[in-house]
Amino acid sequence: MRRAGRLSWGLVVLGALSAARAAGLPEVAPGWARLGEDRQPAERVEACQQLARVGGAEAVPGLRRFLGDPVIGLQARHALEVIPDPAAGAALRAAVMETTGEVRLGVVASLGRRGEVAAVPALIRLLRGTAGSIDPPSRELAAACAFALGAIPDAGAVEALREAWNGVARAEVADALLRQAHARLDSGQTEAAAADFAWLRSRVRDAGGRVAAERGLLRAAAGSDDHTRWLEALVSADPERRAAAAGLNGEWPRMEAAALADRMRQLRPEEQAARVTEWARGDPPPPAGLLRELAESPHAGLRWVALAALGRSGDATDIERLLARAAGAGAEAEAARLALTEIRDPRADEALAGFSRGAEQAIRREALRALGQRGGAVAAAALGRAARDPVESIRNTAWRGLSASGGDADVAALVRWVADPRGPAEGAAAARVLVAILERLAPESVPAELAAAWSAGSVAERASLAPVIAALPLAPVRVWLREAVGAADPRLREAARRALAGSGDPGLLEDQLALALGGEEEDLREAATRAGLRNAATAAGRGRRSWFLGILARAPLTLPQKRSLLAELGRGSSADDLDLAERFLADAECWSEAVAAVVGLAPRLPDAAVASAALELVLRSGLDAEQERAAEAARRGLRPRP
Amino acid sequence: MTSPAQRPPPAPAAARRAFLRHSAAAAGAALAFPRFVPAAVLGRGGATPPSERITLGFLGVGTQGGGHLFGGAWTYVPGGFLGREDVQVLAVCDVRRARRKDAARRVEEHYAGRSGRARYRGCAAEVDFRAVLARPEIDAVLIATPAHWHATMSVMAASAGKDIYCEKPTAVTLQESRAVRDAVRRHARVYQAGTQQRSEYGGRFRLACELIRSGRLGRLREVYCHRDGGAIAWSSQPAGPARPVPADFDWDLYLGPAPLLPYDGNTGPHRFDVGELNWGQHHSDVIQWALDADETGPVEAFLEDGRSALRYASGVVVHGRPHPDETVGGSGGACFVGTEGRIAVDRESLVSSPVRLVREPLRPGEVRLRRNRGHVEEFLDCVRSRGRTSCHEDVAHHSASALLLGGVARQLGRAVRWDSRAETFPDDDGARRLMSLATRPPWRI
Repeated sequence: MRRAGRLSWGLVVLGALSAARAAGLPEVAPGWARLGEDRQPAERVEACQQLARVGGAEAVPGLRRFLGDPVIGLQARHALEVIPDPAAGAALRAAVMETTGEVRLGVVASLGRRGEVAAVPALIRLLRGTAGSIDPPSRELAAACAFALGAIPDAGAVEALREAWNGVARAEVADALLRQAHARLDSGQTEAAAADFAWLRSRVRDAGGRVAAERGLLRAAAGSDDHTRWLEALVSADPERRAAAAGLNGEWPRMEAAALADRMRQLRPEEQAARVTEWARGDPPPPAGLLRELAESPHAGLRWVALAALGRSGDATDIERLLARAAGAGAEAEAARLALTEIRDPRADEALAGFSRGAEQAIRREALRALGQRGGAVAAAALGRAARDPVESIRNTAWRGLSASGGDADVAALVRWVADPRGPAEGAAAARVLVAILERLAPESVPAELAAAWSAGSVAERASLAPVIAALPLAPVRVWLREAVGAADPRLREAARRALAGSGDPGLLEDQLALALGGEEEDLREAATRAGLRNAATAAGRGRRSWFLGILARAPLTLPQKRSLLAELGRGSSADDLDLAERFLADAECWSEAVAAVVGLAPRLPDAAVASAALELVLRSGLDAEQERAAEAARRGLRPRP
Repeated sequence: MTSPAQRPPPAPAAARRAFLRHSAAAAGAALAFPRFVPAAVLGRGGATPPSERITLGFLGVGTQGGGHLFGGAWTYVPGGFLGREDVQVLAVCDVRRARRKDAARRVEEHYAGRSGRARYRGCAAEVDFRAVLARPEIDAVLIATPAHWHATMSVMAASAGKDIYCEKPTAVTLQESRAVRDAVRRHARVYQAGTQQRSEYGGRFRLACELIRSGRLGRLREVYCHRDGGAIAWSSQPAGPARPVPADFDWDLYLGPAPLLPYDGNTGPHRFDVGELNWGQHHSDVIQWALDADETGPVEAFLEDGRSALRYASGVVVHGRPHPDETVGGSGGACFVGTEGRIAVDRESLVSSPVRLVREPLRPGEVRLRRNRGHVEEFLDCVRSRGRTSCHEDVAHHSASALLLGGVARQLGRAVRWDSRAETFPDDDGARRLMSLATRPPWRI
């Protein structure tokens, strides 16, 4: 028997090889030759997979023969499923009545995925249990048949599924009918689809099923201009209808804004919030009148959504309302601030500028903050004026606003402000703003006004401008700064050293290292260490990070310097970082910080085993409860991140 | 704080490595706990009443699922779902007995503590997820199983009337991805993909997308995605010698739709992955968002030096590799290059060249994208309101498809054209055959 089987398989192979050659498919032939039981399992599976990719009609008989094979049956069936030639479908149709058990379940599913209309009668017989052999037991088989019939667009399939409603596979039949109904809807058979959904809605017993059927009905109605059904469902007293209508905003072709706004008031607050969230993404956005009303809701979530959405819909008349909300705290204030930044009405800037001169300080601050985010000429003027306000908090807000909004046109004025301030505080503030603006603008060359002020400036003016030039990562200013660090004048030298110590220019890393290790004043050494660590960690300085950290770790350091270094090591991710951090575990002065560094970096190490060992050692070293929790959490995280 | 006297001896790297050698064989002992009877009544002391809590089942409670449930080092949900007052976890499911029992015990201990009771029983520990889906009182499931299960479970959960939070990859074939989208739609479910970058990380990804869609880069030309395309390929043989299946492990349920193989000890969540299926969808999701392609997708996938690349209808090319001069982007991000410079974003950083591109605040009239209170919060909000999440079924489908298209090109070793409306490879029978996988009965999708 076995020998006879091999013989017949050999004939099949020979025939197929010649057929493949005739068909000009030389790549198929190796697959054929490797299907037989005399080959290794892996080779047979690969052969099946190859046939699934390139096989045609000539591959079908052989694949069909192995449908029940324990090694390659699954792959053979999938190959028949994906081979587009009708012969593959015919083979599966024939097999569905000849196979049993899981093989048959697979064949049934494959027929569904192929959309084999010709298989519908056989599948119906199996579903009804009228076919000759019902194996596997009817529940599994009926479920598989329902799946397949749901996937094949065919009126007879729908009818058979309806007949099977009271059978053993209700859930699968319901799902299949939903699939059929949606397929009809997608192919433009709106009335038939609506009838299907209505049929289901009248019979389904579970709430989820009714919601699904109702949503289908709403989708079927979406093709018309009459949105009454959807609007009614949205505000229905029936929670299932409401649930069905929810989430459809994005799909609705054109909403009737006024009608929806009217219905919104009948929704629960959380439903209103969801509707507004969806609606605010569309065009046109929700009407401002509705949002203004909802922004007064007692429901916090709804107020948040409505306020945020006012940014797109509102106008200058909303400024006062939003300023009042923004002056508070929490999520609602954030939403109002976002809206203040976003409102497009050109009159909004003037309105904000007006409020920035008002009496109430909280409102003034919010107006200035919004102007800083919005930018533009009106904002620059208002912020510049407020920067010299007698009230410190107003001045600070204005400076921050200028930092965010200042542009190329403001550089000259700020250079003058820095060089010739009304007082030291104003000079320092103006310098900080100018630094922020230059960092943001990142000019490719030294601004002319700054170059002129530096070259022609007095020692006092240069000392004022030192922090500004130290912020520019450009070669010429590095030369100026180094000259100033070595200047004879102690005032300029001191200002330049402090500017160097705080500079964010990775090009000054060597200078900062020298200052960190050799500076006379401790605060300067510590500032240079912190800035150097920041710069070494940036993309521009990253290549020299290991070098910088390595030298620092081996040098005599103050305790604040050690803490800064260990904090940076704790953000690291390499074995070198771990080695350096572990050096400090022996240092009683900063042992806790070293533990924190090891715990911090271990989860990022490429080798989880090394990380685990490091954490194990730390865990066994007498940690306090908080450290132990952190170490345990890190150890739990030693797996691929999500 | 530990006193100096308690401080440990030095632990140089050499000592740690020696420890590593000796601890390699160490393994945790499995704990067995009795089966708990579901009973869901909590809600004292002003807490959310049980009737208003969202009831959850966790399918898979390993690293990912356990992180979601309990919180942990990697998670973005402090305290996990368990720490939320508005959620009640009614069931956990895992093919590892010790893991599911331990998770159920921790859930019950937590609820006992919260309700001030000595004992609480109400979290079932199931081996078969179908037992969780069969419980009508469970509103939603969180799927964090091995990747090859995600889509099958999602479709079955939708059919069972559950809302779904599903880890990435949300599907491992194009056919699966479409099936998930269709099932969620068909059953009117709420779905959130675990591509949390649209919600978390300080809004960094959102701002990057807002800047790009506002035209800060001028005309966007190319994107460096950091990750290659991904796919699943069933193993044709075990990863090692066949071994007896451990008594506390359900190998058949682990494999699920995958072909039956002898047990070989490889029970990882990504044993069948090809390419960068694990992380890829995080990257493709952000790119789809930045390209305003949530309802479409690429039109072509091709290979560049053996790695996949995508082309969009706008002409933008997405390379499946890092930018040669940019380190930012590796953790879930990308580097976007336009005529005015480049913007790179990942979970830790948002940078640009020139730097002004990201430092200039968004001004009135520039693009603002959807904000939410957090990825999980948004999911729970939508379960209540029946609204749509940020990473709803359509978004997830197209993000997954972008990743999987690269996988098809990789598998074929050639370029493929993609019609994102018809969701097929036009005139390309060879590529169409790779849209699905062999699926072991009774599983089907």
